[in-house]
Amino acid sequence: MIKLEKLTKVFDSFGHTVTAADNIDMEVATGEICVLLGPSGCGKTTTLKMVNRIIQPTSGKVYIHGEDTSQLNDTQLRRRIGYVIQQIGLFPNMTIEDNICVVPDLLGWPKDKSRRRASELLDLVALDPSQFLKRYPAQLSGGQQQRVGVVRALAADAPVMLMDEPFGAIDPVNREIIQDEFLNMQREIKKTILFVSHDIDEAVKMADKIAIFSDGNLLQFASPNEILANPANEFIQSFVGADRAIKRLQLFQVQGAMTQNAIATSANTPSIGLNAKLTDATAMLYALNAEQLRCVDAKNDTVGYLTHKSISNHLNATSNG
Amino acid sequence: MSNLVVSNLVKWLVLAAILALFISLIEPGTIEDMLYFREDVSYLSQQHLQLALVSGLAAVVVAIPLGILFSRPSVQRYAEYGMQFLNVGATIPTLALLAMSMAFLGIGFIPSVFALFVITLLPIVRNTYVGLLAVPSFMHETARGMGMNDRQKLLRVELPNAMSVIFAGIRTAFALNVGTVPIAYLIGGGGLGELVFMGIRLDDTPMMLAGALATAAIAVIIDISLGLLSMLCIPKGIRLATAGH
Repeated sequence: MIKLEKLTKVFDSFGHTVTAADNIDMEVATGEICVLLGPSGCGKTTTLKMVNRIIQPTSGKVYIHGEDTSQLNDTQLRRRIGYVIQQIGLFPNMTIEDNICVVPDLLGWPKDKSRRRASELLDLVALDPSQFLKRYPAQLSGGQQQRVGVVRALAADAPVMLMDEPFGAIDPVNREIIQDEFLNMQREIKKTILFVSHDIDEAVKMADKIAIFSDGNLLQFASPNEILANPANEFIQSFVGADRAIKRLQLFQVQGAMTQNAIATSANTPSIGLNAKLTDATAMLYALNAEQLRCVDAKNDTVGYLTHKSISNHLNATSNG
Repeated sequence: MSNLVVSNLVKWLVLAAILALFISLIEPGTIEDMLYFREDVSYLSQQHLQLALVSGLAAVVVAIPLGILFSRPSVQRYAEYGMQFLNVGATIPTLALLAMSMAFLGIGFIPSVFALFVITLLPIVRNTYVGLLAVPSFMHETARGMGMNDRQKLLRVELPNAMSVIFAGIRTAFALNVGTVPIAYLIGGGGLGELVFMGIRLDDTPMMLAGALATAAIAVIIDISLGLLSMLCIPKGIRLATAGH
């Protein structure tokens, strides 16, 4: 669990003061990803960097699993927090293995334990350890480097991770892939993660909670569904976009929105799996000019129907919390 | 890696060609006359090497910590003044530096080494300073974010990443140093300059050439040794990263 309490940063620049983060209060539950979202200069990165004190807070407190981190010194604190930045920041002078083992080495782990860990972690992101451990960052592609950057932050098994636009420098196709890989990984490792992004689509995809910032203030802190369904003010409404109803579709699966009432049974009704996202289902409905889709389970048995009406019913039913 | 091997090979071939051209141009019999000085050459070469290595190594030992000091955030705003001071030192012609050194320290080995030391210092300090400042800020941030203290960050991240720039400075500095050693003879430092200057004064071409060729050979050997040493000191990952661009 990460808890920020009245966290504030005031920069002093040439006589006048700028409040980069103003009394930020929030609490991220253990195992959740919280995306800090907003336009540049909104205070999201400042807030993130105050957690590991790369930026010293002016006032306020950060608690990690209930422990007041102001009692720890900087290096102790940082070794307990995984850190991933957009520029990746692999050290070019070290092999991939040594890069992954930076924090375990700083913590004084025995060599065989840390090197075994490096090997496991590479496996986790589908990079063959026998091939990659002894390579140097310059010998890896951008996507491979970012995967190493992510697992490096996991090396010492810190319960908390800070990720500053970690996938921002990767091309769109590979970004999708790495995001999916990361979500799969997160399902097993269940870290508590603060994740800075300026991309609403990335936020909707990755987040359990989204924190929207503007001008140093935390405007809304809620689930992606809540933010899309009930934006707290006009700024958020315009920031998440006019297509927010469509964005919500990717938050739900077919099985939640199906109905037992078919419009008219016909053998030619196209079928869709229960775990498909509503985004894909809707695309199918329109592309095939169909009135309904047959929802089939793993054994290909029909268990329900998806209609335009059942989708909008589901969106309405879930729009209050 | 193979690039370095090739460039070393080219260097040797060029040298061999120059040597061959040279031998074909000088008067017959000169080589035999030069061999007459081989004992002088071997004795003076030792002196020569001693001057270059003692002053050069002392400069490395002082310059790298000085460059590191200048690059520390708390010192950085004064660093430019320090660098300006050293820059002024570097604009003084080497002969004038030797003369000034003699004025304060007299003649002999010590004043020669001191003047050579001063000459060698600046390029290494400057490159250490510049090389460390060139380490990108995100790498500093990552190192800090992972919980390295200042010393760990310097040793594990900053210095290895600045090493190729530092080594370029060391090679420049040694080239300056080795180029000045023959003149150290003028303030009683000894070395192969003795043969060269005496040869010029006595109009004794073989004597002059014996000194000059040995001087050239030592310069080449030192440069090649430094080239090989840089292969050991610059981390492989950095060489790969720079070769990629």
